[in-house]
Amino acid sequence: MSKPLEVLLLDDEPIVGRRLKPALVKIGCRVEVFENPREAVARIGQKEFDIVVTDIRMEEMDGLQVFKHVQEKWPRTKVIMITGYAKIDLAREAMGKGVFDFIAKPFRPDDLRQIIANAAEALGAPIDFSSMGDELVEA
Amino acid sequence: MSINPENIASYDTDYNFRFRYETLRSLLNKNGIALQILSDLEADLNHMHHYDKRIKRPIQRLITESLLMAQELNLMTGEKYSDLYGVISRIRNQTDKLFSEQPPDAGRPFVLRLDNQDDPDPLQIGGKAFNVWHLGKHFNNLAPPGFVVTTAAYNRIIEDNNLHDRIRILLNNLDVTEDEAQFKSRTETIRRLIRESTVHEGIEECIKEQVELFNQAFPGELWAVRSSAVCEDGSHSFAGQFDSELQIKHENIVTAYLHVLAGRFTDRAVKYRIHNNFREVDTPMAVLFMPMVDSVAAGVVHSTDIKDPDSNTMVISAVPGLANRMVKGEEPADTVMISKGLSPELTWVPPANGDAGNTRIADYISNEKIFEIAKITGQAVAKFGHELDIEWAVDKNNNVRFLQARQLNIPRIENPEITEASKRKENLPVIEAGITIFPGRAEGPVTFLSPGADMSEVPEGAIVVVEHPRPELSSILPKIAALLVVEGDPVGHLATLIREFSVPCIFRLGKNENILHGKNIISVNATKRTVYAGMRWPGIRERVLARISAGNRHQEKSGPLYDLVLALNLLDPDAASFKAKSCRSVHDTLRFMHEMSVRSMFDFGDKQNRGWNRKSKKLITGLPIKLQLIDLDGSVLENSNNVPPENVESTPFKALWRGIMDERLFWPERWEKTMRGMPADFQEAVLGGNRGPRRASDKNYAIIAKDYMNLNARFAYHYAMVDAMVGPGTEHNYVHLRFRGGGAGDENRKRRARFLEQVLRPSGFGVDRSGDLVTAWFRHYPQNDSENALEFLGRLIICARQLDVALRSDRSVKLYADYFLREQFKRFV
Amino acid sequence: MNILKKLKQIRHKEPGIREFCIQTIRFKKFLENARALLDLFEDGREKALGEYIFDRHYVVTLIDSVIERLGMMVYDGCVLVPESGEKLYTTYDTHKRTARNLIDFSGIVKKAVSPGDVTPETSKTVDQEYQLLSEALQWFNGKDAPLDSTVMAFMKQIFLKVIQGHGSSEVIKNRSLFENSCGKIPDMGIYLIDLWKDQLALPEGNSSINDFNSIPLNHLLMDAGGKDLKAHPNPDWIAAVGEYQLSLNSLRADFQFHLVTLATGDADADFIFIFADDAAILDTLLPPGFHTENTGYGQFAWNLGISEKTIEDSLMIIGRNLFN
Repeated sequence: MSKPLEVLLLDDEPIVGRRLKPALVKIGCRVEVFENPREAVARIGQKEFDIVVTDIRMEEMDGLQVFKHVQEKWPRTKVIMITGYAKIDLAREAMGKGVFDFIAKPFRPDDLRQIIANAAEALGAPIDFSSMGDELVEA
Repeated sequence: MSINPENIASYDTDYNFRFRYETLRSLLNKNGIALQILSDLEADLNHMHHYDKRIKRPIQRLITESLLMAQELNLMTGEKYSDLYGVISRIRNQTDKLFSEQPPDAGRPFVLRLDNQDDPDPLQIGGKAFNVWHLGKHFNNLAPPGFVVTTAAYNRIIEDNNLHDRIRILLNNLDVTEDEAQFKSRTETIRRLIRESTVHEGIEECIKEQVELFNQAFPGELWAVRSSAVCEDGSHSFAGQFDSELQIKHENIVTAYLHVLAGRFTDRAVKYRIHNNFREVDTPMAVLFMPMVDSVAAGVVHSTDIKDPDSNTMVISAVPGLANRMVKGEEPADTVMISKGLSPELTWVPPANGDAGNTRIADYISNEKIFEIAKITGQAVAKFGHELDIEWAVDKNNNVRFLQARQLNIPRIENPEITEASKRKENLPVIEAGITIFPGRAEGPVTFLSPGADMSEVPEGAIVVVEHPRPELSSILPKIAALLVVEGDPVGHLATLIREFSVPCIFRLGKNENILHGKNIISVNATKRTVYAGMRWPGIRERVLARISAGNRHQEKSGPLYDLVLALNLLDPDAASFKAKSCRSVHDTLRFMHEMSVRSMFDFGDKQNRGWNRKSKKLITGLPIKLQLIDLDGSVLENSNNVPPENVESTPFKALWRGIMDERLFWPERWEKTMRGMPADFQEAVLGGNRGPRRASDKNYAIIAKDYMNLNARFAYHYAMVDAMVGPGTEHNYVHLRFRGGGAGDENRKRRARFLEQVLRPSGFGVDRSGDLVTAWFRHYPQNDSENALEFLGRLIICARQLDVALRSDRSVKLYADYFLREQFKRFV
Repeated sequence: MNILKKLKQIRHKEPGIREFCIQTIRFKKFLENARALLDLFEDGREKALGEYIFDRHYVVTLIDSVIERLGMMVYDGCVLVPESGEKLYTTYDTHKRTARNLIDFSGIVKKAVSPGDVTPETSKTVDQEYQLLSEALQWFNGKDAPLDSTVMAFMKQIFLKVIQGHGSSEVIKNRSLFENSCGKIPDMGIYLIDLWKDQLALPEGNSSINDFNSIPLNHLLMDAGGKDLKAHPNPDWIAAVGEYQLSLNSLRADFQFHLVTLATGDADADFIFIFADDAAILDTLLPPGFHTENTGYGQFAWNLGISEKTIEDSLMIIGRNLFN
């Protein structure tokens, strides 16, 4: 398998990091989890991630601002938005601006893994699911 | 024995009160949902026929909810309105009958040849094809032979590719979008979807079969593939809104067909339909296929001169070769006038930059041919029964062919007043040139528009100057004062549309347009073909703006379902005819029930204050507001009968009150100043209750609970009701506003309602405005947003009350709406 | 006289038939609200079992939705059985308080202040969102919850009150109301009413099924009533029908039976609901696939989210068993 996918996960709710990180690690991603948007943005300033997954609405800073930071610094990075309650309009608007995709809570980790896989493919580094093992087989 | 609430002396149990309050809430909740269904239906009916199964379900649900609401209203009022049941049942039975109608498309052919039809249906073949058929019927060999792919085929393709819903979603809310980029991107998406559609093989076979037949008779022919929409080429020309595909080889014919279908969704076509209030479902498209005429000359003939219909003259424009670039305004034509009558005479019109004189210019067409065209045109007018705008060609065999025909719209010319000012020497026009496309006067700021410029930047009421009469300009026609075009022919698509939209317009201004570059405001007299610097005629600007806003006010759509469900007939709740039996549509019943439930609640509130005061308390405030509080669950932390607002622990109430108390509203001290000298009963008017002529004691009151508030404030018969549920969840949060009337005079009340609509919509509310009643809703938002909405309403209610005097004209509505949205509250006092 | 007394009384001025029809429609609404509640429970369960990622907002919204829907059910119940209204609202208020407590006091966690404190160390603790959801599910329909404290238990109570109220209602007892104002299928012993017909119009006397364009009714009676074609002097049944709906009620004092069905083709809305005061009867009557619920008073059965065809087939079987 090629170089692991570098993923940054940002959501001010701990449940997201807690449940998503293991799921992404299983498909071979290297995941850094943040609950504080400013810290996440600082980290993005230091390191280029392949994929950034961020909540669209956080108290300190909203996802679109995070997206702008990412886009300015690392235009190659794919950004995926997590939306809470059906703020679909906001999400679509974000997609118009270059966000790769979005996913609405509640969602299963598998649903996001699929989007991550799409993003990986778009990056030219497709994830090979077949070598992952039984955890990935849908029940 | 029915209950008359007036006779009730007291209520014995808390539960009775509770049940009544729950009944009101249930009713108001259903009303809110019903209005939303109505507004969705309005959008749906744009795309669906009344026999479409998908319409049936929401309508039946709507009617069921209305029936239950009627039961609830009768519970509140002791069966005062049992007439409603019969009304609602009747409406249900009538809608059921409508739904059982068969869709007419069943069994209709996909393709029809024009030469073997006796009585074709314009709804199947579209206006353009119908006119071509008509020509062919009366004149041998005049129109080229052809065939039509019908509206049934179009509907089939749309259905097969699931385009109905996708187009519907993409077109949703487009009439309110100001975002030109979004509009363009959506229409482009629709066009792409159509171009990429699968064509049912039955349709494809039929097309190929027809092409094969023609190929045998006329081998090697190229095809012209043209749109023929329903409603096209009748009184609404759609002129050039749909593109034609010319010179098509027979192997590309299906692709060309799809491209023409896609042309139905160009920006300007969509805007045209929206502006003219055409439903998508009423304007399906047929496509006309005709072999290309290999022409040596072509052009357009108007059977009468529009500029001067009494002059008994025909106008023919001509170019060598094909006419299509000419009609798009891309190529100048030669023009000749022919007098009608026994000895017709020709007069060639000199081109814009050329010399005067009768010299003959066009060497590609003989005078004989011109006369021949004129003669046939005259005969065609006799057959059609009205004036005609015809596209003609002369083929390589020297035969005259007529390719398209549409009704020629003769504008009604209003006689301009001749003012004294125009006679004075110092007021000479800066330009005196060109030809009148549409007469009339206009004044406004001059705007130069280069090709490719963003047309949404063109201000309303501007006088636009352009180089060529490109068809894209049609999208700004509804909002401009006048149009000046440097080069252009009086015939062609844009010219036709200019006449339809009644926009004063001069073509062929020539080099003179340079003079306008230094000017700011200009005045145009399109009838006399003169342009002046500055403002010239008092009152003209207002008239122009009135024309623009009148044109943009949509006419009511109609149809059997509109009448039974959407139409609002019951407009004036104070009229004697405002009765259950007068309700003819579902909307009527909703309006009626809403009004009566509110009235009943007022009665109830009064009883509360009179007979049973245990739960009613008075709000203490420095503002001139009288408000009684009815506490449902102990949210009022005060044992005495007088309560300061801080002690009302109701989330929605607190939020609304924050808005009312907004410092920027500035009104307490101002209030005193303006109040001195005001009659005493006027002072009471602002949220103070009013000793009006008919009501004994009008108090304002609010029913409150921790998460809930129902506030009713009124004076005379006009009121504001704010009903809100705001808690930590989101699904059930809602803020509803119902505002009716206020202020003297019908027009004022309507303006106030429009003001509210213009302020509420951009702020996230759904809005329904019927006459002077405005209902607005803000649903399913989180607590913070809902509280902000309530604060917004608090400010709005105060400002709206203060608008009594200020809304003197229609323009002031937008003015004050802008003030409010920009939070310039000082303007409201 | 106050509203409540008025509700309890049969008004003699207005036709009782109209009252009957509206209450029939109200009962259908009542069932819709109940169904919506079951869907909400299921939604919560699905999220918990499926290891979904959701936020507190989702659970709070779910709880709010349940309270709102429950309120609508309670309201409908009060309209159907006014004499039980006060008790119903008292219990409802208790549930409102429970919901409030859940939201205010459960799973509130102060955000960790120290940076970088987001390692999976905490995966051993239950996510507060899951904690809240689990408590909510307990309250909705938990098997281990204290008796009668769940929303589901309350729903059953409301159902029972409504059914009992219906059984003792004067409308049902007053058959002459139907005799003079309804159509009849004399050979089946069924009174027939068109739910939406303007009831003030005079009835047409004896009718047949064909006069009523009701798909469920047609299916119910398709295989029914083979041999005994004598006219029943006192029909035992009243059927209120619409194009896609049917509400069938027994008029016998000794046998309470209700069947309500909607068959439009929209699986999200369609259903069959049945109640019989004798559980044994339902066992012989019903095709397989129904959920059932036994109570001291009788047995409820229902089937949701099924196809039009399944409903139609079920009706044929039930009709065959009921009318032979």
